[in-house]
Amino acid sequence: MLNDARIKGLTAHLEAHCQCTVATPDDGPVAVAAALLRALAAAVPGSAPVVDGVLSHAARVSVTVPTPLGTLVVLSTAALATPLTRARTVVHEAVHAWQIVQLGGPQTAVDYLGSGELRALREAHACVAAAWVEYLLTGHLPEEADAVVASLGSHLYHLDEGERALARGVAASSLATIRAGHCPPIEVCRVVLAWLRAEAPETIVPERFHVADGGQ
Amino acid sequence: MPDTTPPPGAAADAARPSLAPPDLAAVQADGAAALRPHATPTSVQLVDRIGDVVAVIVFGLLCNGGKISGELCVFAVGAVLGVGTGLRQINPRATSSTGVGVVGLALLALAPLAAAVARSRGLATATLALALGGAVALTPPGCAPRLPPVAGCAPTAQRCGPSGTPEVCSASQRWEPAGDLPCAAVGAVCVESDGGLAHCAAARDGGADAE
Repeated sequence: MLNDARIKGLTAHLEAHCQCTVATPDDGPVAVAAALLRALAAAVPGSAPVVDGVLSHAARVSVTVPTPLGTLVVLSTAALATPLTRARTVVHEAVHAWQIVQLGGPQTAVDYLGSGELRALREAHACVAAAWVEYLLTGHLPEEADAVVASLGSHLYHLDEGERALARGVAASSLATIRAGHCPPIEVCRVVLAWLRAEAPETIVPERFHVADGGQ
Repeated sequence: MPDTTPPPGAAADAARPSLAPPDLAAVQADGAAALRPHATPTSVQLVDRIGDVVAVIVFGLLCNGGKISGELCVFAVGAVLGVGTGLRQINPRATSSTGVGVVGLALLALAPLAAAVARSRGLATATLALALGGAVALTPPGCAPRLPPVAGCAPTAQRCGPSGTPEVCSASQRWEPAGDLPCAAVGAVCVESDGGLAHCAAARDGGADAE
C-alpha cells in the first residue's frame, strides 16, 4: 500500500497531468470558504439551508469544480481516512479534472448538469478509475459491475434506471478489460499505472501489471 | 462533480453515498426528447443575466468606493449569484435541496479564490473576483450538452466503436464510449465477446473478433 509520501507524490503527479489543484479540508482557503459561507447564511434570508447542506456534506463529499483560475478538487474529511480511500478519491476526482481539460470547464459543467446520460458516463469513468487504483494496490477486483458504480444509485445523482444501466455497461466493459490483463482505456488509469510502475512498483499487487506489456 | 468517500472503517468497495448536482436543463443536443425547463424567451433570459452581472459589478464598485462595507458587498453578491441567478439556472425537475446545493458548491469553489485575492488586494477586489467568477461559472454562454447522435442502437448493447474504443448503447440509443482512449492506447485492441461485451484485449485473445 502507498504510504503518505507516495500518495502525495501520486497526487502531485495527477495535479500536474490533469491541471488541477487538490485541497484538503485543512487547507486555509477551504476553511476561509467555509467561514464565508457561514457568514452568508447568517446574512441572507433563506440561504441557511443551502449553506448548511454544503457544509454538512463537506465531511464526506469530495468535489471537483472548474473555476476561472483552474480546476479545484476539494477532498472530504472522509476521503483522508485511509491511504486507500485517499488514493481512490484522488484518482476519481482526477478523472473529472481530466474531463475538464479535454472539454473545457463550461462545457464539462453543462454536460454534467444538463444531461443525466453524460453525468452517468462521466461518473462511470471516474468510478472505474477508483476501482482500478484499488485493484492495483490491493488486488481486489469487484465481481460485478454493479459494485463499481454502486454509488451512482444514490438518488442524489438524479440518474434514472437507463442512465444507471449505461454506467453499469461501462463498468462491465472495464472489468472485462482488466480481466483480460489490460488497463482500462481511461487516461487517468493509464497515468496511474505508469506512475506506480515508475515510482512505487512494489505496491502493485497484481503481478500481471508489474511490467508493461504491449505498450500499456 | 462530487464524489463521496465511505467513512473510516467502511469497506473500500462499499456503495458510497454521494451528493450530485441536478439536471440543469435537459436540452438534448439534437433536439430529440428536449425538456426545456422554462419557456422564457432567450432575450428575456439574456436581459435577466445581464441584470445580474450589472448588479454584482455595481455592488463591487460601491464597495470599492467605500459606499458599502465589504462584508455587505459579499453578502449582496452572494444573494444575486447564489440565490438569484444560480437557482434560476436549475431545472425544476431537480429537488430544490440538491439544486441549491449546487449553487453552494459553486460558491464554495469560488470563495477560496476570492479569499486568496482578498489577502493581497483587499475585500473589494475579492468581491469583484467572486462576482465575475460566479458569473462565468454559473452562466455558460449558449452551451448545451454535447451528446452523440442518436444511432438507434439497442440500449445496453455494446460494440467496438470506429476509433477502437468500446462503446455502450445508452437508453437514448446513442453510442457512448466506455473510456476516453482507444484500446490501442493501452496496448490492446477492441474485441466483442460472445456475450456481447466490448472490451480491450490483446489481439491474440480476440481472435477473429479483434479489430
